[in-house]
Amino acid sequence: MKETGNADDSWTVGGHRFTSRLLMGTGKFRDAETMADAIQASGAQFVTVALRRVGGGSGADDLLESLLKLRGITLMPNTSGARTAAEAIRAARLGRELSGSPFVKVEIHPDPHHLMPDPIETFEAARVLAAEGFAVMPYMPADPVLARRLEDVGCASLMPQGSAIGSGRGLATADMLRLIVRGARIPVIVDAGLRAPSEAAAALEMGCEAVLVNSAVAAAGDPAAMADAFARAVAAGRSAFMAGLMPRGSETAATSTSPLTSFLSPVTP
Amino acid sequence: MKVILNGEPFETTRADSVTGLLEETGFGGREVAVVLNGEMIPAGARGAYRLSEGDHVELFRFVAGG
Repeated sequence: MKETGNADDSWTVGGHRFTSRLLMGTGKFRDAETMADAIQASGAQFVTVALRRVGGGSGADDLLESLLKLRGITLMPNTSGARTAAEAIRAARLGRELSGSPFVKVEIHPDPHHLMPDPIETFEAARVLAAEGFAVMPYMPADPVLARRLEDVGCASLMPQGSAIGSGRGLATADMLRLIVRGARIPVIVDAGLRAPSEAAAALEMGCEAVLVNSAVAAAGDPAAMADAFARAVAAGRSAFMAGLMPRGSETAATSTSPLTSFLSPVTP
Repeated sequence: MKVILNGEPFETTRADSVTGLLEETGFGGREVAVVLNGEMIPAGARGAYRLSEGDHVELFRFVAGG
């Protein structure tokens, strides 16, 4: 998408500077070409990939090739499939060998039904990997206490969930996200659950540094067009945050924007 | 020589090194991470690792994922 707003409004994570505040996952796309088109349309500079054993001879072999054709993309391997800290640590090391990138999205969800991140295993993996020099970006429950603990062990960012992975339930955790943003000294990136660009805008408006989307784009009718819509929404939300939203009033009170003189009333002597 | 490749028995015909095994299996020059008997072998060091009968070799690659 076209550059809008202040060109200097970049953000930094793990010592790397990014101008795009939209991160993209690469899962669930129809094919590699659709994925590459969508990522290009999103303007994303940061994309996630997963790690699996070689075998089966699926077309996913072409994935990396398609991604590398796009310029200026930083890969963030995830640890999906890991159910424990030990498995995630192993996956992170393999991912770094393949990507050459210090970034890792620590993702540990033991229950395939709800895919909720395990806070204890996530914390342990983050602690070990941060000490090894990884730029750890943990997918985590939207919990401000855990957020502080993850920040204290050296995570590069926090990636609390908006709602369950792939659910499209939006910012169900909005109140907790606000608390995390208020307390965080590292970038907060909403990861998972977004469906509509307006939800991405809302996340940026509340002060989140960025959002990560995948299903919302991959499962859209026109993934590239939806990626562009998300990019615009993210830019709008960021501009709104920087501009400073007006204070919220009470539910019942309205405040007029025009002078409330009763100039149309009959003047009674 | 028989090795265990990603959990399955695999009979190598000529490979006696990790690099040779990758070439024999069609992964020479491809982006794969190699784990030999539980230890990750960095790409630059593969030629130096000899294979022995019964070695466990695992190959990993990137796939699409969020």
